[in-house]
Amino acid sequence: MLLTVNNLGKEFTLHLQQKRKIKAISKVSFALNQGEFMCLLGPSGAGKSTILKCIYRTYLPSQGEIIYAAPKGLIHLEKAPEETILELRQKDIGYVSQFLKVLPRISALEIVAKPLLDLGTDKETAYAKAQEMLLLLGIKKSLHQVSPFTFSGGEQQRVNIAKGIIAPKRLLLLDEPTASLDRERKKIVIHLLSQLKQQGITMIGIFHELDLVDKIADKFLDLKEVSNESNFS
Amino acid sequence: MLLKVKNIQKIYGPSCTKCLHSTGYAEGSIICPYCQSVVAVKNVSFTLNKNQVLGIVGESGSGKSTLLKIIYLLEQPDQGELFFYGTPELKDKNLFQLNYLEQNSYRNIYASMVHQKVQDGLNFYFSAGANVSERITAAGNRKFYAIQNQVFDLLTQTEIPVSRANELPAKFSGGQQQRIQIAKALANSPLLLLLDEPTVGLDVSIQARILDLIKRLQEEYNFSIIIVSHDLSVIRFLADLTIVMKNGEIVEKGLTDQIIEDPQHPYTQLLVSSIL
Repeated sequence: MLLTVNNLGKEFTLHLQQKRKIKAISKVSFALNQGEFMCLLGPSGAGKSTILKCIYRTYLPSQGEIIYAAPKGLIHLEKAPEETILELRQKDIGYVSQFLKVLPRISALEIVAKPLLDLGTDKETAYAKAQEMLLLLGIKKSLHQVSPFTFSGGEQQRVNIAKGIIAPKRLLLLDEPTASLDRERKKIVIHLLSQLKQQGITMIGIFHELDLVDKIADKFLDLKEVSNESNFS
Repeated sequence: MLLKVKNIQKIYGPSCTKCLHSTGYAEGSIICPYCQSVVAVKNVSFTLNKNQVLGIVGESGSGKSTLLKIIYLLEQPDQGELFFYGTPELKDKNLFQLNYLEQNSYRNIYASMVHQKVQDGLNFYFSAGANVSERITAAGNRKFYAIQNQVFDLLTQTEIPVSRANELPAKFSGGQQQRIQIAKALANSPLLLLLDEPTVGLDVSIQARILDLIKRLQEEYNFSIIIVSHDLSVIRFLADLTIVMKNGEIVEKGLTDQIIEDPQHPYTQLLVSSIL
């Protein structure tokens, strides 16, 4: 198993509002082998992003364990020291967010090339591949040198996806990657993801278009309601 | 690991047995009600790895600037230990107990600091170039042209026109003065860069340029950074890890994205909710 999640629960305590507690997820369990694609389902607010953020450690889990099989050995992501998590984020676990976090001063090309540059790829190759990826996702050449700050939501998301999959990590967490895209573009993205799957990349993604992911998804996790036990199939 | 900070304590004033129990986050003050001493830093410990950026966020009086000065050996703490693993000659030695020459070597070569107020970091009677070269000669360099070339290179990297190297700092804008400080701080290729609110008081466009510059230099040279700021968005931009301080104490420590998206401590939640 590459990733084992046991009884994961997340609760938020709002100290500024009389310590009110908000339960986001409870008793979530599943396991993934390397190369598997799991689709998270459920209504808005059910806790799908929460699961991804707990795995990535943006959220600190309240209960349960998240065990990742790194090349060096098993790591408990819920309690690993920050240095370990930072190391894992560099090479092992990637997160494609729902919305592109964009700074107005960085061009689309720079954003997409950065993961390759971080791996040590030379500038020329990195920028060439970044350009190729952006064109594949339908971002025209004239926009490559521009910051995505002024792009449409769908265009921003495509830059975000390009950045997330150009140098894929062993485990990819995809938070509604196709939400803002038209149907044709959704198909292109899912096709790219299936190519990653063939490379052995393990993925957990939040998608609403079941018919499109049906072919590549190995497992589904349905979070029917907030604070209910999940259904794992 | 590059730096280990252990149990730092700094009290200004006569201090008494009740100081530590009557100050801090829960007590809501850094002033001891019995002897009026200021408990500026109370039991701070953390570690920093190579190629890592740590942000220390806190409001006025949190102790963050005092802590930074202590780490740069500009002030002695009352208690605590500091270990630096960047060079074999300083390994396993408590930096607070080094002799004057060893401390100087740490301050001039292995670590550097960019001060909040430019006047604390630059000599306004020396030219821009001379300010930068002062750090280079402090490390023992004596060859004029080698020093000059390094100065010009550093000024170019911080986007200060080399043709103005002989001008006095007062002739430059605030943002440029800060960049001269950064050029100086980069001399001798330090392993640890300490930044004390480097962009406070500067226009936002200048702030962006300076932060972009720092980020770019860090990605190129891979030195570690401790950046102190009261502005969470500055910390979010640069830091991988964040420490939150209030009334001299650390109230929360963690990954920067976790501190901002899932703050645990009530004070951190207050800070995050105050982002514009």
